[in-house]
Amino acid sequence: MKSNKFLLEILAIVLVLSVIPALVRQQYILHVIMLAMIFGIVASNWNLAIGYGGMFHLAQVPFFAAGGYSTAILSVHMGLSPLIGILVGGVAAVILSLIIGIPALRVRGIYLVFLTFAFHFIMLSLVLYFVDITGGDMGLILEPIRIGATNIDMFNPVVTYYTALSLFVLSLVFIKTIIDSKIGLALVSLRDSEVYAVSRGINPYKIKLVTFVLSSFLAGVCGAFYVHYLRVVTPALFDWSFLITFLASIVIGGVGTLYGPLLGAFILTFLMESLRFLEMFRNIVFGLLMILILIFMPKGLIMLANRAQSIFSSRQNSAGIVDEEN
Amino acid sequence: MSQKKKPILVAEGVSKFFGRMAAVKDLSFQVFEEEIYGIAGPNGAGKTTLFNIISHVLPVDNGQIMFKDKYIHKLSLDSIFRLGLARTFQIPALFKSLTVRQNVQVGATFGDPEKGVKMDKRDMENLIDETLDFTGLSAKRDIIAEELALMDRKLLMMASALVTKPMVLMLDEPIAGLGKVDSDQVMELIRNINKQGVTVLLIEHIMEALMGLSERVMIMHHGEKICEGKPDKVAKDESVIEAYLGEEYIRHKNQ
Ligand SMILES: Nc1ncnc2c1ncn2[C@@H]1O[C@H](COP(=O)(O)OP(=O)(O)O)[C@@H](O)[C@H]1O
Ligand SMILES: [Mg+2]
Repeated sequence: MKSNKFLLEILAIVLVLSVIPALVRQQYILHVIMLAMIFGIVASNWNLAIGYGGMFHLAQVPFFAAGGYSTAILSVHMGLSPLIGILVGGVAAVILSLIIGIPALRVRGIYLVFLTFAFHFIMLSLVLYFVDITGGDMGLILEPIRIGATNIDMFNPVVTYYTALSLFVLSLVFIKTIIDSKIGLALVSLRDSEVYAVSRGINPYKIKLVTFVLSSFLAGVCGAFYVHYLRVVTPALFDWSFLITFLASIVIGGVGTLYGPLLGAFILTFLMESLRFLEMFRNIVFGLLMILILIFMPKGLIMLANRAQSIFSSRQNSAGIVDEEN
Repeated sequence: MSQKKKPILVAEGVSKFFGRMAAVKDLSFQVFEEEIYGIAGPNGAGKTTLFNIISHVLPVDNGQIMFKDKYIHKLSLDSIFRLGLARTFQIPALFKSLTVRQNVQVGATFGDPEKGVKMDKRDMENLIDETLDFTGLSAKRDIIAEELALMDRKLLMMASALVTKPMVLMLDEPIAGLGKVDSDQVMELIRNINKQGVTVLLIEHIMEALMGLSERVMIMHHGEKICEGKPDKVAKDESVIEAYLGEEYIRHKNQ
């Protein structure tokens, strides 16, 4: 029953998102949707740790940046192809997550925030220091990839769009699988009551580390994808605006929900684009939006969709229980 | 029942300090296989702290704890549980966003009911269903745990332990706060648990319940054991009456 429902939801999402390029001719709109998908993936993987596991950390931007820089460095210095480069980005993020996670997840609460925060700056400093490799302030420019004699641009807009869509669907299935697994059960238990969860046999360190590592992979993949898409990597990859975008996507869409962060990312990315004229004040608007949602709708905007759905389905059967999972 | 008198849980000179205060002080006792061992004492006597150091919610400062011929005081809370030593909490704990059934599933999944042998999915589901039946929670299986009343929270906390087929179950005030009907039901449940061969350590404030259920009782005061023995003997002990039972219990008895 449940997995059927999920299958239908995935199909609906794929259907809608894959016909869009045929209907919408403006390149710009496709660009924004694609960014929304990529940011949504990063946010919803972060949400695994924050929302489902209740472990707040600030390593998601470093994961994203690790993916971006590793793929850029390898493709500029060694001519790595984008498709392999994207995978390499994920692997780089996983390695980083192990380096951060093994020591940092032994501490809890606010210390985890501080430690991951420190890591952000350590990484940024390293990037700025090793100018020969990273290009320092100026960053690196990625040339279109040559395959054979021809000069094929592997990332033409259509290919790019559908690559992002594939990652988007992959991420959804990935997260849903984790949530429904033993790890998901353990994560929610730890979030609800850590001592009780451990007293029922859960090894908290193991579960947190596994989740941390799992949730880094697609963030790295997306960082790599993003860099290939822009064809440039600069220290701007460490910019606060990424942190704010990912976090606000989770909060506005719905903390600890499957679709919330994705919805949040779409809303935010479109707002971000349409509020460009506000410049600096844009972040104020996002901040206010987050506060309003936290006060009036702590479960996020996705609750509206759930409520609508439960009203709809309660007409058919009288069991109007709101599905907490989505 | 405890003819064999084989100890399953042994504490040797255990202490726990909070700052300079000894919440548990040089305490030794043995619990035998398949008995119900009651623990009582005034508020702040150190009963809950004793459970906390046995289960390793808190590290023990001095002394040793042995479970089934194995020292466990250096093991972690989760591994002690997987060995078959389970506990409940005085303030009911629960996984509030999970259903009643999922709460029990957590124990079944991480508690190693078959002791090292991996269970297949069907067997585990059956085990969960049996446990829900046994604790009287079947009808509420799909309710989100947050919505449960006190009685059901207490039952659920026991169910998530029982589902792992523990050898020893430590209950911290399972009856306190319940009305007469619910109290009787929980007492009956504790008897049934014990009948299945589970050794029970029972902390309880309600003296009739404790004295009625336990084969032996230990009375604690200021972190120390002041008396131990059969309930009727302990109830008559001078130091116990002075320290704890006091007039209230005697008044109660004479009613
Ligand atoms: N985590 C703790 N930190 C500091 N003091 C504690 C802690 N837990 C218990 N205590 C103190 O230890 C003493 C024993 O408490 P407790 O074991 O809860 O008693 P009981 O369960 O017998 O009522 C009390 O004085 C209590 O205040
Ligand atoms: Mg207590």
